[in-house]
Amino acid sequence: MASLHSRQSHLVALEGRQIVFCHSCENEWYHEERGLKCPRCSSEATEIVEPESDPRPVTRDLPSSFANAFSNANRPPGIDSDSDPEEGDIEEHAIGGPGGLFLRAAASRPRNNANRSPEDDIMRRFTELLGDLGGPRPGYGDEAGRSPRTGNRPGQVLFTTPPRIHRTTFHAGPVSGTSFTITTGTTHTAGGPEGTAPPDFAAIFGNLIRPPSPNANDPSRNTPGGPPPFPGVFGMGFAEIIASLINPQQAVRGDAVYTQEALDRIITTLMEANPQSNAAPPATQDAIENLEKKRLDDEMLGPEGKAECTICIDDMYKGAEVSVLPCKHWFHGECVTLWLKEHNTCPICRTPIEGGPSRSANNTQGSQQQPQPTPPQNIFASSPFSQSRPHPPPERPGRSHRENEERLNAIRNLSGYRRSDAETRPGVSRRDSLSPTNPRTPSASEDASRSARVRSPSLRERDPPIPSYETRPEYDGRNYATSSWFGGGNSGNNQSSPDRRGSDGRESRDNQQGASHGPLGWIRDHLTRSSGSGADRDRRR
Amino acid sequence: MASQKRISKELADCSASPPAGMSIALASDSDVHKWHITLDGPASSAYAGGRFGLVVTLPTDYPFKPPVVTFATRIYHPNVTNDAGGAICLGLLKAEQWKPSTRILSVLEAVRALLVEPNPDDPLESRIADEFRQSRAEFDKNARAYVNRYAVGPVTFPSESQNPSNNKNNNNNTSSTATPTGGKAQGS
Repeated sequence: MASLHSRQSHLVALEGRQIVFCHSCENEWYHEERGLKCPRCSSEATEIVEPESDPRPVTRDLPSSFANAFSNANRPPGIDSDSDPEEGDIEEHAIGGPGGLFLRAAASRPRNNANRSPEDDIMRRFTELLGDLGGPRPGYGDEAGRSPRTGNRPGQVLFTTPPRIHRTTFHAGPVSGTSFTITTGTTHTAGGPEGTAPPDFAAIFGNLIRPPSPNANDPSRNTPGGPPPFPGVFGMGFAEIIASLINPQQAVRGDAVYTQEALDRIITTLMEANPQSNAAPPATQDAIENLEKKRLDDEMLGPEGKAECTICIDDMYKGAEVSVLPCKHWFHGECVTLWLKEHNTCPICRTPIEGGPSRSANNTQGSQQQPQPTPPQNIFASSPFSQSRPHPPPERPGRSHRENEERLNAIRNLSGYRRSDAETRPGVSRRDSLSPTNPRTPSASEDASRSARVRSPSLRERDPPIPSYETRPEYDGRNYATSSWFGGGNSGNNQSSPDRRGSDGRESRDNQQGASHGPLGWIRDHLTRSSGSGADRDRRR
Repeated sequence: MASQKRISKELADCSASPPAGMSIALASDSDVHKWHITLDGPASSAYAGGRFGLVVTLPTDYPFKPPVVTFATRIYHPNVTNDAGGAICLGLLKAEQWKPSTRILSVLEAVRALLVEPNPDDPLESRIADEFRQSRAEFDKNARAYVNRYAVGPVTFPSESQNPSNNKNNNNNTSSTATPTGGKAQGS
């Protein structure tokens, strides 16, 4: 346990020097001296240490039972340790050690949580289930390949022993926790039905992770050598377990979302955080300044010789200066400016003030129309977050590129967007619902080709998808612990679970396009910006 | 402040010629942003005979932001939350539909119209909305039961403090789950 000794002496990031940390062997070194690859174990699972996210293990006072579980696990020489501050109540560690995979997950939650006892029951059964499993797990082949050391140990047979789970429940103060340790491979040789038929571990994982469905009882889904058909409650409970392991609250871990509900919740939160999103956007400064100014004349006042500004309901008389909107309604310049800074519509008739009559129709449409109702599985194809546009917006002549840009800026400001966000992601048209204008004012044909491009991968999606680390770059590096959870099961997932396959396929489609700013990216931008780690993530690894 | 001026004017207008069946007062003389309205249940509705308290809260940037109108008296209505909060679903008051040219007078009239004609298509209480659509007689009966239970006698408004005690029937439970009839909806 050389790694234990290194805990006491972390390198200190001096000025201008970056420390790189190896997740495989817990080595640390200065970036400029040794580069990004681990000089000790040649692993590439390394991370640059940032003050706000230091992956290096901290010496902790673990409850003794926990610590025992830790050492009893007979782990490979190296533990990934993840100290993401966002996930204080969950730990998940995985490592592709020599010839095996080591996974450790610990979740702690308030003791009064009512879910605890079913969880315990479920985990007990899960432990039993995994205890029954054995043999090679093809799904993890590439995982082993990630660790160069594997090849350095000649004669070693990979995956000859079943995966082991060590579960420990501990109680400390107001919090009780359950720790799961899963080990596989040659590092663990104690017992185990080695001779049993090798079940497809990935497929079983796919079954477990799949959202609860009547098929949970379908015996055909169980591979030979696997346990008897799961009771329905097991499947359902396990989905919850996974969700709660990933994040007790939201089934969200880092920048990944695992359930439709979690995604919905995020979208709802975003919409609630931006309650004006349905209302008309503010008018641009230009538009406000360019309003026609007039002195009230007899014609405007009508027979009574006086009228009132409907905003401040003050009487106005002939000769007073007013601002006249395109719809011919007039107000005190001051009053209407205050309103237009929030919404670009007439305070009386709600006609948009910008653009000609043809545009005003579009504008009303754009600002008030909800995203078109579509079948849920199609939501990304036509939602405002989408890059594809089912209906190309009509061209809007008479608007310069600059005007469009300014208008977009105003909209971004309204909803808290930073300009840099949009600039660093060229071609993003994710604000379509708010802004009927598009900076590029795409022609219809261009737009059609875009949608065609976007759609064609969805056809490919019908082919058996073969997600790999290459097509899911954002799961590499920091998140590969998560990938390991699903990683081996990824192919199994996609075969056995249409639901998950849908979202995974979508995700990888975005990546295939080289656009990490698809719908999920958009959400991720939101989520990570607040924690300030969005940029860091890109730099890691 | 512009909003103060407009509010004072509107208050004067409303007090001088209040909408049918309403009386208007300020919650406190020092604050024109909170109005207490007493509304008689329209004779043509299931709420006839009841007296309902309405609280109109005007934001500081009124009229650029819509006023907030809530029932201080419990009412059985598809578009009013069936709890102590008494939130009203009124399109006129939604941020995306609000226009600064709308006056409080017309808001109050819209609330009154909502009592005469509930809008079950845009409900806050979907259960009540379903009942309203499917068995009107049952709805009327329940609405009248609520009137008899909550809306007789003088109207009490929530005090200026944070205490959300609304009514003589305050049951110490501010959450929406306190409704005896349940059926809290997700609708607007």
